[in-house]
Amino acid sequence: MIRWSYLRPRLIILAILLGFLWFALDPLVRWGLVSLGQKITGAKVEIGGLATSLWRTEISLRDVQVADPHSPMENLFEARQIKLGLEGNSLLRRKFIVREGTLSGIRLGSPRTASGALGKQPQEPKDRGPSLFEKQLLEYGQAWLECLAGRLQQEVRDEVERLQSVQLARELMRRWPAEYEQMEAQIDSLKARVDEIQRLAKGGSRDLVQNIEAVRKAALDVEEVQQQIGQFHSEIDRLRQQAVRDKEAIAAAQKQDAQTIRERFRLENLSGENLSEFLLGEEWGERLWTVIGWIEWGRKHLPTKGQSLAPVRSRGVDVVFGETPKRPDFLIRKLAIDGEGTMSRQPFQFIGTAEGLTSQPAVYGQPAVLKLELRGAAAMTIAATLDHTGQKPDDRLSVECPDLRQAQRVLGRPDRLALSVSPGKAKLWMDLELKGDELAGKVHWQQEPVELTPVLPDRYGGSRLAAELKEGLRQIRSIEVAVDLAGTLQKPQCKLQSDLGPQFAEALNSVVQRELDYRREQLADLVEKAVAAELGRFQEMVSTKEQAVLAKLQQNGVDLRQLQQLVAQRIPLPNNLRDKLPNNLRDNLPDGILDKGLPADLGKQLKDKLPLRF
Amino acid sequence: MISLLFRSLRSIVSIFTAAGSPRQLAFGIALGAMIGLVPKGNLTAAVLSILLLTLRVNLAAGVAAALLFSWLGAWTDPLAHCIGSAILTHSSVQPIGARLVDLPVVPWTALNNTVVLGNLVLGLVLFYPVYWLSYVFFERHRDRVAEKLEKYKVAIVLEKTEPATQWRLR
Repeated sequence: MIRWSYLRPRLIILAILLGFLWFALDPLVRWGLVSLGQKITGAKVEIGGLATSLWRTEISLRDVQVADPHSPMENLFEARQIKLGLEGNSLLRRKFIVREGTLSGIRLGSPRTASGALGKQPQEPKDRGPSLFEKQLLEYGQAWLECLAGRLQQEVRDEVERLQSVQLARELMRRWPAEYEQMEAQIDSLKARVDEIQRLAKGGSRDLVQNIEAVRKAALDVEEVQQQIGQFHSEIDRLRQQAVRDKEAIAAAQKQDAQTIRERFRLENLSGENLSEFLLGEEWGERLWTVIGWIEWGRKHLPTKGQSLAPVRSRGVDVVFGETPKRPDFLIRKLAIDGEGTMSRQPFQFIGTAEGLTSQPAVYGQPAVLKLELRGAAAMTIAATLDHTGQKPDDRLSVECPDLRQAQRVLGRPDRLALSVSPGKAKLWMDLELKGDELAGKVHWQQEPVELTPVLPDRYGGSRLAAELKEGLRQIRSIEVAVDLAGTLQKPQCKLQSDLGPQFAEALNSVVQRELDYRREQLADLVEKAVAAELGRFQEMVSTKEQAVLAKLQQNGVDLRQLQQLVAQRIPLPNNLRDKLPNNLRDNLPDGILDKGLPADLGKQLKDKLPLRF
Repeated sequence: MISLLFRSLRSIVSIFTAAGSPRQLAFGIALGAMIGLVPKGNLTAAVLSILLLTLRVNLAAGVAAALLFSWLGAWTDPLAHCIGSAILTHSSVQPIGARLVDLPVVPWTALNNTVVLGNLVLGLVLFYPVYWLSYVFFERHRDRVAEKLEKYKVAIVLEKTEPATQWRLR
């Protein structure tokens, strides 16, 4: 028999408990989801509304916002509505298995009105260090461009003054006048000496012996002067030969200078491969880091075998009976996704599905598959297979974008060398595979048609060179980029290949070569003119000076002949001495002078005393 | 916070002043001790709590014991873990456990957790000793303590604010 007085209060209590559970279930579920979400992301998770249906075992969430832990004023994503249909049978076994769900109205990177940072400081994003292609950018680009700047900034006129041939010609123009002046001074002193001899020869004495002594001395002086005049003629001959040698030296210096000019205006050709990395490295480095960042994020939040995303119990250990459980604790069998976002400031919409998302991939035994189709400005197909069922996760990401709109952008560095690329459409194909930490993949990208406008700072040629370069680039109508990825997720290695670099390098090399050729020719021309002018002056100077010196020497010769005549007149020589006179003196003697004869004792004395060797 | 303190004081006072036999009080304390030891957030703790609410035991004594033994549970966890681990990893338990966890509702009991099972076993083992000691204590000292408490106006006020305790135990 039922004792209602006993049963009634207990039924009331049970009803109150059920009522409490009914009304408290939603807040409890909300609290649980928010706690779990915040634990995973490290930022605020907000749920606008939540409704659970125990009867249909469904959870419906509205206006879900998940803050970006690294940018608290932005959402990692927000979803207008999330509907999850749970398997009731599994729920009774404490398994949260979503048979089907929808995640609609997703917006990526939307702004927040309040900060999404939690009390604790979010972990700072890992410092990536230099860009994937930074090394080439710093070392290669800088070196070549500085070299170019050095060549272009050389003042040709200043260069002329530094060249050996010009300097040598200038040096000759300084040295040679000095030599001639010295010679002229010596000739002048010779003239003075001739004059002195003349004076002494004219001023005769009554003493015959004294006269003879004076004549003897004059004759000696005349002989010496004659020798000196002869030496001067030899010196003039030497100078003529020296002038020829100096001219030859200038010619040799000119040849050397031509070599120097060639060397100075020579620039190693720019390698196309390196230029590709210089121009595209930064852009592609960022893109690849973004992709790698997303893969890392996925890896971090998708457990591998042995890991579990289930909350860790603070007390005790859950013992697993048997070898493996039959079902994972958490699984989304199928989730329909739609939303919108922006890429390169271009809005896009996306729809897709996610299958097999689980906290225990090894238990589930199947990979998670994500398929997304982006529409709008950035139309593309993304397929990701995340196989974490084995010891090492094996992830594969494939992206195909046949019609990607590209805004105008600048490749390279405007402060050095840059290339403005016109807006256009591009094709992108990417296939990445990540086994464990080993990364392998290929990316292929093509933009066509394209118009390229080079940007060169004044230091590297400025707008003049850029305009010439643009003409050279007119033939480039498409850009293709291929990136090979290798290495590990932490230290990826990239090899970038593109036809842009070689084409641009060819055009740049051609323009730079033309510019350098022009400068080289300009300099060579200036050098030739400068040297020719200097040589002309030199020739003229040598000729003038030589004439002057010869004139003086000739004058000295005339004076000397007169002196000889004077000396001869003052010395009556016997016939037997006549033959001993030097030809020039004998020829200059007045007629009959030798017939006058000398006293016998004087003749003998002269014979003995005069050391005349004529 | 004040209401919580108020309720706790009232519970403690009502243990001695409320109507009910020493057996009900001792049973409440033994059941509360078991609830206190077992970690919360699972069906085992919920079933024990429902038992406390529905059985003819002293609720105040049960709640007070649950609070006290929850605090003591922090010290008994290592022992409970050893007990639970020894049971759950025993070879004879494995097939039974594998069958049980695959049944509906059973996984919610969290009895595959070492501390939950260990504390449950510990609570069951301690159930009779706690019951007997409490019974002896209330048998001997309850009236004397109640007389002393009734002299204080605070105790009277606290007792009169808890009519539910009266009707529930009839």
